[in-house]
Amino acid sequence: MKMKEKLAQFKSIIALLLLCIILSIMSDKFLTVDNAWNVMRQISVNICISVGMTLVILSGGIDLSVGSILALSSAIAAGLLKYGVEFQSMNLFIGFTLLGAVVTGTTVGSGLGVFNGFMITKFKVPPFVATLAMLTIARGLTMLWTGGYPITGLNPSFAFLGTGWFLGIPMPVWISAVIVGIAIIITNYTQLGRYIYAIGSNESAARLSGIKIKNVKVWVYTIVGALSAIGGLIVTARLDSAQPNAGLSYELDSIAAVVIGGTSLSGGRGTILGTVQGALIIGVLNNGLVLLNVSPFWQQVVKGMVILVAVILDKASRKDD
Amino acid sequence: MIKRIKIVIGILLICLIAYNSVYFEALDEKKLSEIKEDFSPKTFAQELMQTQINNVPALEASAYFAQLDSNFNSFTKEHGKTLGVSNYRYFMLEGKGKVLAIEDENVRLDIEGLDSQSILLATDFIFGNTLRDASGLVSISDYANTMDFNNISVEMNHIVKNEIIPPFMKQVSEGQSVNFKGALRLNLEEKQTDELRVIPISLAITSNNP
Repeated sequence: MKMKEKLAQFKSIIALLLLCIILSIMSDKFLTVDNAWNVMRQISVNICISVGMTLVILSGGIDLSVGSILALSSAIAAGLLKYGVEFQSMNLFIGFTLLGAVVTGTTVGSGLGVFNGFMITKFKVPPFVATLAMLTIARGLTMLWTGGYPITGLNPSFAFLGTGWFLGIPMPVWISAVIVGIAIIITNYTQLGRYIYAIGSNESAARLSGIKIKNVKVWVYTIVGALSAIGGLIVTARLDSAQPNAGLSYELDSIAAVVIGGTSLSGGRGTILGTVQGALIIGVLNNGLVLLNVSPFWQQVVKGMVILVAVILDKASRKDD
Repeated sequence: MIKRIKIVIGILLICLIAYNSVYFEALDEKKLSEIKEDFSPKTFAQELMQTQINNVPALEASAYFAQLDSNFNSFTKEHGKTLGVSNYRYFMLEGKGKVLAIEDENVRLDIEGLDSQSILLATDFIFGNTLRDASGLVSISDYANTMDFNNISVEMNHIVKNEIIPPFMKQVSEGQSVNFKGALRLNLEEKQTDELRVIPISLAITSNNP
């Protein structure tokens, strides 16, 4: 393998290392254990969503509704956990345990993902439009469910999911690591993974080879919905509060992580580990800019520039291929 | 056969999750037995402000400013309180000064024993976590949620604004000497040592107009 090819293969890791070295020189607070865990906790939500987004983009689609799904599913989980469901006429109260709230939240996220997949495959709505519509629908439903107010004061055991530590590692990091592990197995060692790559590379060829494209796509959008919901549960547990405006612009952060991680926006090419590296780069960049007291307005400009550079470099490396 | 086993296991799993996910109660009984024992930031803040905060050791103002001038980095590191990674350090300060001016949001005080070193005693727009964090009495790890933690600040600020400042403002006038104790926040990056705003926890006028 030529030197140039080797560099291209590890470009995300090299970029991440360079970023860490520069930030370590510029801020004495960057290279500390506390800050490292802080970054890991912050990016764990983005990793959960980005892993799902990677599957969607690998299959040639896009999902703009992840932030809204995150908000709705976490609001429903928090609402059920705190208030349960009352049936006045039957004099019945149904309370939800932590497991119940988590399962319901994840089911809601998956359900919205199924709806997205159904719209895209059954009614041939372009993924961009279908998920854009879901972005608005889910956000509106979140406002209706919460009345526009945060749901606070949840069960302390729920907070453990977001703020707790297990074996010296924060819980959100454990959760995102498990999700990354499962996603790597799915993409590399299962039929579903191979189908996702096949559909993203050439949908017509995949159809002719007998792959049930509609089923695979519905599965992919269901998975990203479920992972958005899990991300939402982590956010809610960290804040001990379900915010109606949670997850705003998370779709952009997750797409950015996927793109920076080297996944092709046209599908069929990319890896989960690349996405994790992309999420790390964004997380480290965000953290570094905050530590360096860079204005939030400039932070957005810098993030946008980084995404542009990543895509340009990716295009250039493909041209070489 | 294997398919049937998978279906049975699947159904059993769903039943197990469902069984552990919800519980049922009679609605009227639940409402009757519902005893609210929620954490009250208001009560907690009142307790802090009435019994504990005045016992928190404070740095003497003239010595504080002298140290800031000569030994900024090590002094702030040693005596400043902070939460997590931050450029801010919080201090409790006490001292005596002469009222230079009564402004819309502050009373400007010339610190006794120092040449032209003034501070601003906050009398309006009292926000933020300066008082809570400077006191060192409240630790974030004691709270399951940040909402409760932040509401303590809100209530402490509320007490300062409504109980400590009004009686002082009724009596204060320019030229008077004032003993004060309060909290302040210092930005380590800016190293600003003048115009520092102190959130007062005790104020006493010790002399009338000269």
